[in-house]
Amino acid sequence: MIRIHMENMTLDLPVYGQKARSLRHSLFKLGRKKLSPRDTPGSNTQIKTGGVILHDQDGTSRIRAVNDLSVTFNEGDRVGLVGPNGAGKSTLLLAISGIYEPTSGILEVDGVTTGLFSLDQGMDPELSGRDNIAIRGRFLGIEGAEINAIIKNVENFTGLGEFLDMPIRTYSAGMLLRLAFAASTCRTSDILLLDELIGVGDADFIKKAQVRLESLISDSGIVVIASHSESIIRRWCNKALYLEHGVCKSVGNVNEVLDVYKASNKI
Amino acid sequence: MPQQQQSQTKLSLAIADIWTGISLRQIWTLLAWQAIRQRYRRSTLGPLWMTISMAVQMGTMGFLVTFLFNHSFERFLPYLCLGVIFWTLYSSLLNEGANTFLNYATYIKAIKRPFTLYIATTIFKSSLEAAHHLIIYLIIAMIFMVAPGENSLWLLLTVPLAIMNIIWSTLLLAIISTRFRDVPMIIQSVLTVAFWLTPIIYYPEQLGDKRILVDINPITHMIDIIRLPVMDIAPSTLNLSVAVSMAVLGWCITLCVFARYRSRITLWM
Repeated sequence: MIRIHMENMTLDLPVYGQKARSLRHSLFKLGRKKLSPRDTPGSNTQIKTGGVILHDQDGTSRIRAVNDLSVTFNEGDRVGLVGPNGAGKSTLLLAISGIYEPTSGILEVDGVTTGLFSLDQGMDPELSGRDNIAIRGRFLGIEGAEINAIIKNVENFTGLGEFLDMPIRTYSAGMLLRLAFAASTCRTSDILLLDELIGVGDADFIKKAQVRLESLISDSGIVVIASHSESIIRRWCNKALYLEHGVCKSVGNVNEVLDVYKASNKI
Repeated sequence: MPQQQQSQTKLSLAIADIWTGISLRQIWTLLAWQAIRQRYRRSTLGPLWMTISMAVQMGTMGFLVTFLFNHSFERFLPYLCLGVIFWTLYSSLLNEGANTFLNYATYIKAIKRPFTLYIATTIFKSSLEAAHHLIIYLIIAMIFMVAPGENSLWLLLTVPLAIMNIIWSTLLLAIISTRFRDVPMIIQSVLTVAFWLTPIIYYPEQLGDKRILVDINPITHMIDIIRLPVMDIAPSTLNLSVAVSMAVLGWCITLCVFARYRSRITLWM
């Protein structure tokens, strides 16, 4: 059974300054007296952007990116994540993909996840497009002949031709997008995580990508899409989750959640 | 993959990471090959350049030191050669090992895979580089007729022992260096000093009663457990006991640190 289950899940992202990054500095600090705990929220609760900033006793800060989230998604759910910049949407996607682990609470993900986050992630700029696809394939557990089939597939889809043999640092943003999109979508998985659907790319590519996404989304058990675009959420999703400061403000039916979101942001 | 953080303890998650990371051989061999190919893409002789430059360095050093200390050339050169090759291996492992997670950050932040996978990549890459330096030793061994003998059987024990030590130290340094960014620099400075306290360009016996200076250096023993058996000499009890205690103690510390901080490594990047 494909399922994403969260119970009181909290995820803090530590923020380190130059000094906290230095071992020498940190060792010297050990000898000094510690200040009393100041584990209180910062003063940005009036602002919509960003997570809540916590200050620890040792002078480092943490951003509470996801705060006490309890929600379950089941097979067939197409979830749209909405919320202002820094609301915790991307962090939540990274947590579901297993890259970030919750600081406290429960997160259970049953199923293989594929994430489409940022485009240059998971690619080595010095390697050719072909080599990058081969590495990506291996990471996904694909072997031998199937890798060649995938490279062929990516070749057809991207239309990159000879560029596939050049280091990807020579690619334009649009070309990189074509490669990354094709490489990460060549295989369906149980859970698909999309962060901000493709903004760049020419008309021809957008058309191709939409066809592919459509089949990918319909083949996946659960899809979670973070987006600022209402039309994207309405088009692809049957559920929505509205996050603000990492807290769930509303979850459920797309229309209802979008209404709450728009009302609280006066759009 | 199901993530049942609650039902498994942190330690078993850390052990699972190490185990699956090492077993994903398909990925770490590919990553290591790509890294090596990339480094030598623009030179015709490829990695052999490094070997040639090392051979020249060894020849010069060998000639000079033999002359300075009045050593026998045919005994000293194989000793020097193995010392330099394994010093290069260990120092590149410590330097690159510390930077492992930062070097592979692009993959770590894109797809969830065991951290040990990248440790295995670094170790395999450095070992491949060391392997072609061994050509120099083969040539020298042939010229001076240094043949392996029954004491070389010690390698069956000491090579796995060295690998165990390499894995934990690379993993531990990689974790610490991701959190504290000045650690790779500290390692570099320590290695510069450690080179002089490692018996490579001299014999430990030459130090007389100051021999303790090289005996307290763990790298001395890590080199000797391989170098001596290759030259058909049994490693000393001190060599072996230091290497074994390093492995036991090192793994205990590394497992504790890894279990405690594994889930935070990505957050540090």
